[in-house]
Amino acid sequence: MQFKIRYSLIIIGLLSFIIEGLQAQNGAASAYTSFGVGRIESGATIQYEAMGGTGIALPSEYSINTLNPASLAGLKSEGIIFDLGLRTSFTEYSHDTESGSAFTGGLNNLTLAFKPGEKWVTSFNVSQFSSLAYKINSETYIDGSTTLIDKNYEGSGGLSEVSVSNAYAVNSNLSLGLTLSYVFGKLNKQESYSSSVIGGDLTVDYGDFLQQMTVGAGIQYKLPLKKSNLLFGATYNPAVNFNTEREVQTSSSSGAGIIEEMEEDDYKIPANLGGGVAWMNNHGIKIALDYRYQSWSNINYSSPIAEYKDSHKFNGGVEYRRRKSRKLNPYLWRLGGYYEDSYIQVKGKTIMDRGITAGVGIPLRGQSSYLNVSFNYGSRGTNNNALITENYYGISVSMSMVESWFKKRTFD
Amino acid sequence: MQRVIIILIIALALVNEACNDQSLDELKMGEEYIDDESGILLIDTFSLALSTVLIDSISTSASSSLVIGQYNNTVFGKIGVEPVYSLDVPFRYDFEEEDVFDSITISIDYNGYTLGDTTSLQTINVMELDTDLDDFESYLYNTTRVKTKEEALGQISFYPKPTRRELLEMRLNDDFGQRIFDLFINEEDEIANATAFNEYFKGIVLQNELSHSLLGLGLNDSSLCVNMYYHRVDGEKQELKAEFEMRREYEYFSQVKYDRSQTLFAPLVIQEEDISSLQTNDITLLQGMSGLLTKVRFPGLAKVFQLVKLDQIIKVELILVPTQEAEDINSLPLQLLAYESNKVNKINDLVDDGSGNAIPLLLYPASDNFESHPYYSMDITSYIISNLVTGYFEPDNAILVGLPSEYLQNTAATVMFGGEQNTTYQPKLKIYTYYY
Repeated sequence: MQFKIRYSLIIIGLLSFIIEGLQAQNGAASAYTSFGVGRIESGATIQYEAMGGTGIALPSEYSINTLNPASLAGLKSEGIIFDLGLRTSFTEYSHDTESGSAFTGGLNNLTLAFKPGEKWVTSFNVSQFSSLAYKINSETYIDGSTTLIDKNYEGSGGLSEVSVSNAYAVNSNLSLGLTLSYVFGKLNKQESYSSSVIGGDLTVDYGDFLQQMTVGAGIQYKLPLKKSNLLFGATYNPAVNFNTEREVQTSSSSGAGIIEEMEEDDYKIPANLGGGVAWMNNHGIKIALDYRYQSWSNINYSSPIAEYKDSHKFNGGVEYRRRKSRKLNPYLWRLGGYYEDSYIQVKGKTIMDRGITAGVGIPLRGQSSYLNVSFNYGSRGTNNNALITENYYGISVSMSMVESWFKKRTFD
Repeated sequence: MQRVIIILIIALALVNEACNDQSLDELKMGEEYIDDESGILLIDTFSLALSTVLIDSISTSASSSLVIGQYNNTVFGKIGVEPVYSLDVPFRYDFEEEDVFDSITISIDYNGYTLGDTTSLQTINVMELDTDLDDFESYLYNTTRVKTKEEALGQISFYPKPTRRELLEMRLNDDFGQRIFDLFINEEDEIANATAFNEYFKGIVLQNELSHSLLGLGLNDSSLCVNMYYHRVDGEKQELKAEFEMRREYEYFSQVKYDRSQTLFAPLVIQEEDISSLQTNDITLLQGMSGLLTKVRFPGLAKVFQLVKLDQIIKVELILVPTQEAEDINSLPLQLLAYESNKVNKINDLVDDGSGNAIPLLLYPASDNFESHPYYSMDITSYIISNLVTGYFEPDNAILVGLPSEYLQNTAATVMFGGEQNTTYQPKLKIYTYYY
């Protein structure tokens, strides 16, 4: 047990080296990421991503489910499970006559979990919490004149989350989980101007440093049926009020420039409530449904064209494996979908996000180690042509490894 | 196992670095989703003070052209320009004792520059210079004065055709010609070389007798040349010509005579005392050859820090608007020079961009949404910032606006700027700043 904890600490220590890299955005680029802390990522590992991001009611078993801390109690592996996910995304934008595209990619998650005790499972997780990615070319009037000049907006960065989750199996059917997270990062918002009228260029960089400790709680309950189980899950994340510091940096062709710490209103994220139901049979077929609600209307936000409203998200997914497979680790096939009535309302129209996912878990040599691949296709925006419609395609890959795989190699 | 994990983590870090890539098309849409937090603000309410300065003297020697004529204007009065130059001597052995003098002429070549009414008759007295040009130890200035002998060498009258660019040749007095001719026939010492000749015949001054325009004269082998015609009977009659070319390697200059006594600019006498546009009907002057410059002061900048911080100033632009009246009499120079100056109107360095590159004022055409008249604009950001770093703008510091040397020495190019209270041709100081 002690060595498990020691290795866990070593890994966590090393993870901190790559957190900086994680700060860069990896989610799909979108003009809609300019709101608040950017687009809030699902935080699911790739296996669950392939099931439409569904998993509040699913137990972790041989792969780590980060969607509900209570699910960790279902971990069946005795060793350390290590999960690394990477993802890429390609987005196509369209708007009346304009169109464009963007490519982004990066780390999705670095997670490990182990069992310090018979009924107790701990996991460490590093993942992207939110991301900003936009580049918009526009024009603006010089105040006090009728002169139009070029103005560009660019957003990058996002928030990272480092968390430790603990799950406790109250009995064979009921488990509870608690996550303690540190969410932090820098949101970069740049406004730049370019024109000979102003003697060249002016760039105004807003760097908002956000950080906060936060907790999340989860519960899972298993109702055994004849040859299957019905599972219920629920999660709750309280509202987060980020400690916010803003640094403004300006620079211009003329040499005028300022670096200044400024007061900035704290960024806020409202409480998030999730519920899920799943059905699993003894042959490993899983069907799951999730619903999440976030009370964004409680957040004060003023903008001439956009407003916040409560968001609703539905996820559904299935996982299938061949019943007659004699292999210890058969191929796992996954399908899913999601539909989000998002918190952003522009010109009275709610921004919708919907998509489908498909994936496969490819067994690797050794016990319960998988290479997971997930594909997704989604569309964000509204049917109203006046707004931007974004179609995005993603490929994600993860390695989910169990410690015994390492052990075996080590003793070769 | 430990090693494997460490290697794995390092590999992950590399993968992570490699994968953390993003490339985004710049979208020309979606700006409505972005909250504008910053903006650019134009402040053009800082007051200026314009005045006219008379420079004590400007060098008009060794210029690339000379000007002849006179021009009268109700705003700036009378300006007359008279070329002063000396002549080279032709080869003495071209003459023989039996040669007979016929006539002597002067030829003039226009260079195309004019100011004023070129349709009326121009009458010029060709005078003999009575001052040694090498008596002047330094440059010759517009204000340099020379003496002439009483009797004219001739009087020439013509209708200028400056655009035709053909050589104009007119006859001078025969007795002047005969006098010079005899020097050759008698093989006098005075014609031994140019120096000896100039001791005897110091040069020519072209004096305005009747003139309504200024004409630019080209400097070349035949322009301003005195031509002596004679003949030789040596069996057959030979027509001969000797040319007394202008000594372009020697001193020559334009003597400028102005009379502003009947104008609002009459009080301009010394360089140290400029005259405010408020006293001159809300205009200021800029003129080549006569040495008039426009001075711009920035009294409004005393309050600049009540509105912006130094580091918020991204551009300062000076706009001077020439009046239609100046455009009516001559075409406006495309470019003007700006010098740093002070309370006593000293001409210091050219205003530069902070890296030593001089910044001119450039002429821009009128544009519908910007300026309704042609205007001169100049980026004086560096000049203003370097003044403001001291925390305030020294009110005596000023910019003197003048003509580039090719205009200053060779033309009487005239620009009239609207003064600070001229509502039609109002000068402006535009400060571009930003908020965030």
